[in-house]
Amino acid sequence: MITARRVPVPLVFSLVLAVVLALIIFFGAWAVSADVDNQRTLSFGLPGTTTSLSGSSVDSQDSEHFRVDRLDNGGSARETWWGGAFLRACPLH
Amino acid sequence: MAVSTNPDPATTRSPRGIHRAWIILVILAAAQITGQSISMSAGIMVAPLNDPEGGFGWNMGLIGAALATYYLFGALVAPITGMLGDRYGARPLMFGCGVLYASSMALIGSVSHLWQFFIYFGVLLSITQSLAMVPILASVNGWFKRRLGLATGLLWASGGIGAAAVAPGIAALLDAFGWQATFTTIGIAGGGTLTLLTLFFRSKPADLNATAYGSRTDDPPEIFRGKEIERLRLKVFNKAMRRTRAFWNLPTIHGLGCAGHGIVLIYSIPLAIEQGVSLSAASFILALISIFSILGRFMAPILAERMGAKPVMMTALFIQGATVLVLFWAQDAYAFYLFAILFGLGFGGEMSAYLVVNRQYFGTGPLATLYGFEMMGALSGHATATVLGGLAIYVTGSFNPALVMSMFFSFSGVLVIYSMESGKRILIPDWEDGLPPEARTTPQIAETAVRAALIEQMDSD
Repeated sequence: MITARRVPVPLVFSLVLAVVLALIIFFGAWAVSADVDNQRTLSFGLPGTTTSLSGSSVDSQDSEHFRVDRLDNGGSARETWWGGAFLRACPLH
Repeated sequence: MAVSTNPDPATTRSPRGIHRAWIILVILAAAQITGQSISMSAGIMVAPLNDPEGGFGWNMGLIGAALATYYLFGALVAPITGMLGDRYGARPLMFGCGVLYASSMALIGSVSHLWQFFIYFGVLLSITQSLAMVPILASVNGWFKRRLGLATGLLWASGGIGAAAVAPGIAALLDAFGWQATFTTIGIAGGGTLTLLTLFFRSKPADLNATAYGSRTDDPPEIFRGKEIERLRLKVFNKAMRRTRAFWNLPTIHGLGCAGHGIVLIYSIPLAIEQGVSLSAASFILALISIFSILGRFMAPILAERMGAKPVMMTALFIQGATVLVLFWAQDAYAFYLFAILFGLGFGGEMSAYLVVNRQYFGTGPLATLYGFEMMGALSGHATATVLGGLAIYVTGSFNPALVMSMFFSFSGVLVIYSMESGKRILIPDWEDGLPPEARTTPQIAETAVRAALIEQMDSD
């Protein structure tokens, strides 16, 4: 009979998870600390919305750069809760 | 204990002589197309919801947050719907999926406030799609003992073709009839179809007193046990699976693969535009990726079944990663189109072989839970691609770091697959050792009695 034992999480899984989290924290903190003075837009594509053949929405002339999304609204990211969290979490920024 | 066997699997073929498994496959393909229509409709919803002249005029960031909720919630519920599939079978879930699809789409049609959109799309349709894409899709495993690769390939290819047809169809309906009529119609059509198909669908062959496609006459008959024993078998099987590296690595690979192609799917159009390609010409890149992915979706499971899943999945992910190199130097539309054709083959092959891999590693046991975790990995990969790609482009002002990340994820996936066990042997052949004798496939309760009877017979001879 199988008894209750610790579930062995493989090294590869843990490593990939750690690398992805580290990358998000690093780039997040970099984005918050970068002095780009609103010359760029912090933007996120929407997964799934771009894989379709929905030519009508892609062709829309008023959709700038394929429905990327402005999140910063011109304010300082450092003052937001997520901006502060990124900076606190990243040892390099 | 309720143990009985299927004595006469005589109704395997329909009256027209086609094995019932193929009829089930057609039903599953319909469910797959319906499920995929949800994420296809997501792309088409954005423009009317954001249109300041339209009835909504919502902020783009909030629409994005609602769609992100859909993906994140989908990642969370995928393992749960998988577990439900293993426990209750795919049939009741198909019925629930149909009812949820119809009601959620009708509710989307009536939406007037943003919080409603969050609940109807972000939560209800997320559950609906998860039901269609996890337990219902995974049920093909029980219907095909042989040719699972062909069946899975056909399912994924039909899903790709259907999705390609559904997206423009929804866009045309929106143009012609407006928001409410479109989503109410889609809800009734899709939900009604799924609910109706439930009448003809069965979770497993034994429910029809039939056998799976490819079953041989000398295969042991399927044993029906009591609910308690089935529950115990599922629990022990899942516990044995969780102790293997493959259980953790397969969702990781799906996550890495989806992060790899997610970045490309999101940013190839803006990149092409930045290189001077017109918007309409650039939109054709995604069309080519989708079309050629159908070939990859179809072929990968078939080849995985014949040649083993490891080399096929490694090749698909390698093609997905290596073709991104083209984007660093692509200047005109034709270079992007060449990229799209090659990338589509790898991208399609990456996603479709998991049901075959699961069979090769874990046999014919209840595998919807595992598939749910793999879908969780896939959706998490897409979320990672979105966040990391956006951040990298923002801080560097260039698409190149995002492309490097895409290649990094794809090639990491190749390495993880390389590190995995061969698929030539089942990883948990002895999982039933964790069961009490009466719950095993070959009940051992009668063994001593049979032995005693034989000894007695020999003595009397």
